[in-house]
Amino acid sequence: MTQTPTPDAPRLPLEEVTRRAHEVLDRVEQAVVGKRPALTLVLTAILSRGHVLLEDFPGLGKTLAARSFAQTLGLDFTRAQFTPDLLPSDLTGSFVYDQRVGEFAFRPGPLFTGLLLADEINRTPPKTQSALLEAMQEHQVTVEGQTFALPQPFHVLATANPVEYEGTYPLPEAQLDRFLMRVSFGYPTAEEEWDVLRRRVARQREDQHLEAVTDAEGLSAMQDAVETVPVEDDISRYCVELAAATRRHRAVLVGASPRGSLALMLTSRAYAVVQGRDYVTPEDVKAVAHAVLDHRISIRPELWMSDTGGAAVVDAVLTQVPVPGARTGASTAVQA
Amino acid sequence: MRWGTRSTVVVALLAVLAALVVLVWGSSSGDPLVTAPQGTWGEPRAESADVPTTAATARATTRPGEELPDRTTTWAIDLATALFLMAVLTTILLLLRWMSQQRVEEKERRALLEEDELVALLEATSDEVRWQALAEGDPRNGVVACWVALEQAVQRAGLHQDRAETAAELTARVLARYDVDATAITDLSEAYREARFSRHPVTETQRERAVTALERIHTDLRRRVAAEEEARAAEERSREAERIAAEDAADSHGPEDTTHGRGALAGTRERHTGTRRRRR
Repeated sequence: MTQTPTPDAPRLPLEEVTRRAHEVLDRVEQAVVGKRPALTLVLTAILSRGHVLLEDFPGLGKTLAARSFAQTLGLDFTRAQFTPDLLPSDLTGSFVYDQRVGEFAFRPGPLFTGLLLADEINRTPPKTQSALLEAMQEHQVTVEGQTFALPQPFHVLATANPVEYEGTYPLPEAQLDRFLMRVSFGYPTAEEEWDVLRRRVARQREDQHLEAVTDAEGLSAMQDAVETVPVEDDISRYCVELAAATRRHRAVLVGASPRGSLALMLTSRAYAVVQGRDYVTPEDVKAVAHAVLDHRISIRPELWMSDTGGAAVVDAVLTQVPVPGARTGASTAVQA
Repeated sequence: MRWGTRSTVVVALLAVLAALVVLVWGSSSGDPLVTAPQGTWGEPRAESADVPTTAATARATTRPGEELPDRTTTWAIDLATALFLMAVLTTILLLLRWMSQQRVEEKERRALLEEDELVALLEATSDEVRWQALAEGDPRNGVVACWVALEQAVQRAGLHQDRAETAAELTARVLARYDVDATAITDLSEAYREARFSRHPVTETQRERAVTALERIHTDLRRRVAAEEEARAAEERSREAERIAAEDAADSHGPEDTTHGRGALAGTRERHTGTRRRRR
């Protein structure tokens, strides 16, 4: 991989970002067995400074994955179990009267961390969900008129159970849009599951600790390096076309917003860096398209009982929207 | 006709013949093939007991003045049935024969199409195209030219153009269809993506890598064409040998007791032996 020498060259070379990314994935994979593609997507979202919604059945390693990423990325880790009685102040923190100095002092909540695991985010009422999602978007919280900036980097890995809907508050589309990606791990194969058991026996204890590959500053440097990677205009236009195509699809009530096309471009860029490249290809866009777009699409109510879903719509647009080719619109390409 | 088709025809023929025989025998013998079961099912209902038995018997027998059907009429009906069944049988046979012919023709057509596709691919990866790629001023354009050549080739060769397909997907499709060097085509695909979407300079080494990949694909295709031609020639030879053997067998069953016959047979064998010698 060749790095173009520019005056504002990153302090961290892209080769180093790729190396560290692979090391992080290798270590996380020691805990979460056989889920390399899904883990790559999660890391891609983190490198794009985004938040991830892990939607899967219980017991498939969502919490373990979040903890493992926190450990290997050297981030502070907090876990908030979202329950129906959780209040916004339980997340953001609140002012508590300090008797020694005789005034109210701010006691930060679990939001003030590097990586927050918001477990079962759909079990808490919308008021608390909104408080979290606002913090995710603005990177700050406001309590009693005072604004507190969240530490950087700050990432949320939220989990949701896709089957148990009783007593839950499903996230509305507008709030789902705040998550850069929605990722599912899925069930492991029999061989992978056996490997999980084997490793547990070999470890001789329940908990496992993974060595850190980097720290908060190192992760910020990696994110800064990703920001320097240029994206061809044709690729950006392809992202825009894909998002627009989801809006035109006849089964769709509300398609992907411009935030969706932006997310598509940012994550495909980070994905390219993880793959060891300093350029983004249509293959990168297609690789992240489902994780980025599926949850941003609302299907028409009359199709709710059918198999049509966000994934089917994204599949359709991926097979319809023309990719930037060798003979289309590039200044560098040969005009045949 | 293949063994499977032949056996299907034989089975169908036997089935229809059996049905025909049973039907003709059944209709001409006078005895019904299928009769209603004897006995009663459960107790007769109370109201049916009121119906006089004599009336039912009277309905079952021939009414006065009504005549039994003529024996000639019965035979005419049987004959018509037999003719109809024979017509159905003939139709089935003709249909099976047509289907078998269609299959053979389709196979031949596909073989010809594949041959055309290979020729188109060979042309597109030819020396001329590679020289053109090398002659391009900018190495980036040279690499992209190599990929464009391959793209055009597969389109000319019959693979449909899909504008929503990435280079990697096209590579997979070509690999699934043609037996070409996977490494070479993957190398070319990667070189193209780098030249097309990166902003860093593309070097002469990368251009040479792309041209070499195209050359390897060309060599592979040429080898495949040669192998296919060789296989076709071998098949032709074996078909000819079978034909000669069949002719020999037919001749050996001819009149051998006369001097003239023996002489003719010997002449034919001599001719075939001579043909084989010449072919060798």
